[in-house]
Amino acid sequence: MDSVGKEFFERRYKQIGGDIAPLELPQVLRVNTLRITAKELIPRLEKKGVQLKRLSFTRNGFEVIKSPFSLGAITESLLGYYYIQEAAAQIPVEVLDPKPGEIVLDCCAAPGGKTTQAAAAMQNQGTIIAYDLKEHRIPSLLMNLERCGIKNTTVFQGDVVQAGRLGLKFDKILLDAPCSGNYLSEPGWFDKRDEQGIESSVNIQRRLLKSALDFLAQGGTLVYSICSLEPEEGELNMQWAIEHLPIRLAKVNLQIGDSGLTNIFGKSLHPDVANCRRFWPQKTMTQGFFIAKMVKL
Amino acid sequence: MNSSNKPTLKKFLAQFGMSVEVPATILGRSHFIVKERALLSHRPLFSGELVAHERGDFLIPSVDLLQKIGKGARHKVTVNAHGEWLFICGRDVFAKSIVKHTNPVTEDRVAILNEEGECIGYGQVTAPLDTPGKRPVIARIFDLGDLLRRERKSKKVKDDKGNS
Repeated sequence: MDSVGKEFFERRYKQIGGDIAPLELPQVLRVNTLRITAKELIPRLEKKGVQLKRLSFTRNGFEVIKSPFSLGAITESLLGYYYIQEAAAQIPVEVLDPKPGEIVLDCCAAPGGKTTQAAAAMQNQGTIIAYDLKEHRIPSLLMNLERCGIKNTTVFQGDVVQAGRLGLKFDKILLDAPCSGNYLSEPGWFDKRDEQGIESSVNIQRRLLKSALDFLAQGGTLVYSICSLEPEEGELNMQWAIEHLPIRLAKVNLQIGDSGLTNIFGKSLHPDVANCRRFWPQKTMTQGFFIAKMVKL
Repeated sequence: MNSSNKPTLKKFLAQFGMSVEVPATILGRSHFIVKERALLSHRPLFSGELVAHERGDFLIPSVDLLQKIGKGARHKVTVNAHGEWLFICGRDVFAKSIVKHTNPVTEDRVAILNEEGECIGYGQVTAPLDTPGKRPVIARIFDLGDLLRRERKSKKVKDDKGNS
């Protein structure tokens, strides 16, 4: 049986209660509260013919209903008044809930959507350490930090496993891990992914999780997120974490998404895996997503 | 360029009639006001508040410094929405776009503001600001759109994390 192609993925998603729905996702922006309030920004954009609708499940997210021009190139964007950020991608930082004064590690930070969101939540106070391994992703990260007026962040290029040399213990860690992506994230996605690729992502994710937890203070929170629907990268990784790492899975309190699956391909998982959230695009009208909240024991 | 010829923030701001000492630290080719000094030995790429970038023999301001220039510059010129759009696309300023100014004269360096009072860049006056016609009156030196052009120039990011 082929382990690639749309039929393969459709079959496995149906086994775990999902499906494939060809959707066109709306453009979504997040108001950068370090620069402006939604109350100030919305009428200003409306005057230019932009129609926005508040998202019910994020604090500062708005769906773009109509825009006569590209929202990435106007003065308001260049001044960092907003960040174009997919709806599901806004959720990990809301779950992490970083506060002013805390020390936060962002493990795979580029292009900076979540880093800038965390800095805004922290009101530019405290410290964010942002790592990204890939050199070609760094310019976008730096540009977005500049645009959004971020002042509490220090960026390193490299593997986050090197963060140990900084000698810091973090209150909170965001691990938005490299993943297989999902069928809405890339044209031709079905033909580019297979079981081997998923396994390779799983290996990277477990390595990053293990390292990141070393840097987390006891009682600290780590939010793990991926834009993959593959259970190996989501629930099965969380089962592995429960078995191998000093963590407990806390409940992700969201009104959107489904509980994490606790029975996958005939395997029963720890009941706490249900504390995670899984976003099937046809239900959430977002990209595919998985999010878990861990507390270090 | 040897270190004595390096552009300094003091000189850069002086061209706008601003006399400000900025305690900046240089990381690579960018100037920052660093809070976490203990991290500097680990060679970060970015730390704290970005102030400016070096580009050849010149400095270009960060978005935040540009706003400070907009407030503190001796000469300011406010342009209408059409002029604003052209300017952030890299074009010069024409007399018909100007809605307000502080009476700069030829060769003065001026901050360019939009009608919201935000600084969108700066330029140099090349002709009296009431000169009608097809000739620009302010030559653009730097505009906010530089941010996008800089990013586009850098290696195109192939995002393997979706559009997050």
